[in-house]
Amino acid sequence: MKKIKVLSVEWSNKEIDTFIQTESLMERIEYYVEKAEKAAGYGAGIIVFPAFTGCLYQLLETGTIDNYRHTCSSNMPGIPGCNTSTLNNKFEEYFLNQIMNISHKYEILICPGSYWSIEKNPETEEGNKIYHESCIIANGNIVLRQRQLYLARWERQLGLSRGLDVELREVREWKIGIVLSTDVFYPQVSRKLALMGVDIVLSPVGFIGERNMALQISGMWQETQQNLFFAVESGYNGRLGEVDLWGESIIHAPLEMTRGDDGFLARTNREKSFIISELDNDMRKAAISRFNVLTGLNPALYNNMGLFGGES
Amino acid sequence: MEIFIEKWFSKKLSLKRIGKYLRLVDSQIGEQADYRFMREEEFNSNAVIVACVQREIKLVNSVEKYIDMLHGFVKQASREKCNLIVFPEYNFFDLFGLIPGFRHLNNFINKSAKKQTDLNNHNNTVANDNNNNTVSKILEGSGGATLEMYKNSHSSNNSDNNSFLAMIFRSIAIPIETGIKRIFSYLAKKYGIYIYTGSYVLKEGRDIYNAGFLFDPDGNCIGTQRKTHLVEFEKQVGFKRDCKLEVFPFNPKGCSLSRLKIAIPVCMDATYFETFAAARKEGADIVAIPIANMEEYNPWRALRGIWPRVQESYVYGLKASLNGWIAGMHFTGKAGIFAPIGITPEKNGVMAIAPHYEGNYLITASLDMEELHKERERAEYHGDRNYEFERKFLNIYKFINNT
Repeated sequence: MKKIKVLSVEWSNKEIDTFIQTESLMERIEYYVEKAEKAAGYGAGIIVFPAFTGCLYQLLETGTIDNYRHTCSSNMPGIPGCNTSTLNNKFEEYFLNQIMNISHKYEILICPGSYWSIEKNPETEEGNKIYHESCIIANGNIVLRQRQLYLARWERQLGLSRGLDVELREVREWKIGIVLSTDVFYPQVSRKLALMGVDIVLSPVGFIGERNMALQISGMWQETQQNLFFAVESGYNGRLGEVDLWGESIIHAPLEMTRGDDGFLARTNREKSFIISELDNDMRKAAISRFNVLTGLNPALYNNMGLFGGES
Repeated sequence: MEIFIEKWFSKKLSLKRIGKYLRLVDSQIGEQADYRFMREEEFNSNAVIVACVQREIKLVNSVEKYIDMLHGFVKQASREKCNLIVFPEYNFFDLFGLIPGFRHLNNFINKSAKKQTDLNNHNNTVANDNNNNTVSKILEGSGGATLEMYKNSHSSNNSDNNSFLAMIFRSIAIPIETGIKRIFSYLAKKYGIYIYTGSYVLKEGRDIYNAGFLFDPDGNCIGTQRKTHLVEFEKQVGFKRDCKLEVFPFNPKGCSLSRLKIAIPVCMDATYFETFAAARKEGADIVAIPIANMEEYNPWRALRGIWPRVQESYVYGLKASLNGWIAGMHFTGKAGIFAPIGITPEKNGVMAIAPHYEGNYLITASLDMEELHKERERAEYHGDRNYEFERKFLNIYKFINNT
């Protein structure tokens, strides 16, 4: 019987406004990690923070958000902190180091949301690349790094770079991967993880534009249903520089194993700051045996149609 | 037995008999309703008006009654100035009524099945709280959805195929195909409308497929698409799946946009994002899906098909649905017309949807093709490419294919 408890945090506008320094953000992160471990019991548990949590840290690290908006918005509309000339890769290091320090104290896997990751060209100072990246941290180590593979329109305008592949790691007998933010709308990302045998997908999200649950359902909810894994989605609600983001935190499972056949194990519904659920892998396998999408794949069709792998 | 049933259906669906009845229909429609002329006069825009049929299975004892049923929907669509009408999957179940004694047997089986369904619904409610543990115990140790599982499922033999049903389907396939093509060709030409027939059994040699046909307003069959992803029932019966998805020209008169294309995959095909990705790759703007869902209705289950596919692929999606009882099987489902969230009135991805999952409805919507193309250009979460990842992704399909 394989079970694990997971906790998904949802940042609210109000809560984000209280993060006036990196310290206040990190205190809040540790508060939720402690909560998650208590809920999960020692030795078994995962906590997921919303996308852009690290980006917010990086923004706070540069000084006050208001000052930053004033000085940088003309260079990089959208996210002032996301700028190769001013974004110091040490900020990414500071953020991750602090999360790693927290993780030393707790027997829990931490997905700290996402951050801007700078890749420096070793030969020249120019041509640095910025990626939107997330990771999983356990026992003070980064066990998986995942860069976003597809970019939203606003991210393309920012000039972000794309990751190369999606990966998974087996941690504590669970195969875990990350589908980061925009990638929830590109089904090939989730499909590849599913075919690699992923059990749990961690999905930090934050959507731009008007709040619309239909949009969010068209992302990770339906990826869960067409791939039959568990997914822990964690939403960012509030400002990030000049961008307004939104998203609900939801813990997903195949319909056949959820009460009401709705695919939700838990959701915040804009009423809670976090949700907890127990994932039962035997139940998931039972649900799969009743509706197994992946055994019906028709790879000959996809190869004949020349799907993917085209231009470069 | 197979030969007897085939001969019986050939007689009941003879082209002579169908032709005779269509001439009668023709005289009833009369000269006063020149629908083709009306259409050319009234359309000159970016919009295409489409209709999806939701209908209840009703066994018929003659092909004439079946023609009346089809004609009723086409006539209604024409009155609503539609350019295209889409019929559901297994659009021929009604014709089982032609089999001697089937109606009585069907009533008996359905009655028993309905009782069982009511009982199951009651037990499910009572057992809901303990359901999770029970399911877990019963199926403990079953495999996961991995490559290994895929390999195992495809290496098993088909000894449990239902040979009797396969025999029935093979027997009736050719007479029904010949007959319905004649009927739909007539209706398409008479009303100057594109018709997607819904799906029928297509027999090619000893192989049978679940396939549908597309007729243009001149009455020509311009497309045949076989189902590419089968449900378990179809695998057991012995259906073959197709390994190609085609798109077909769709140029309604009066529509200012030319070179539109439509894809017509079948039911379960909409569970797979790859189907719609293939349709888009071939240039489709509209994907029509006929369904016949053999399950009790649940809106979340219904949401696993065409709706998310439309959101991923940025096409218009048309769903026609068959419902009702036959041979103890219960079919449910709402017909619907879907579009990317950003261009739907309620911002929920729905252009039109039937009010209930059982019964007869014809739902229609006007699709602005230019607006769809603009939406693709401005969409926040659509249209990006990552060629390096996609090449790696392709390898996993190759791996499965060779497994």
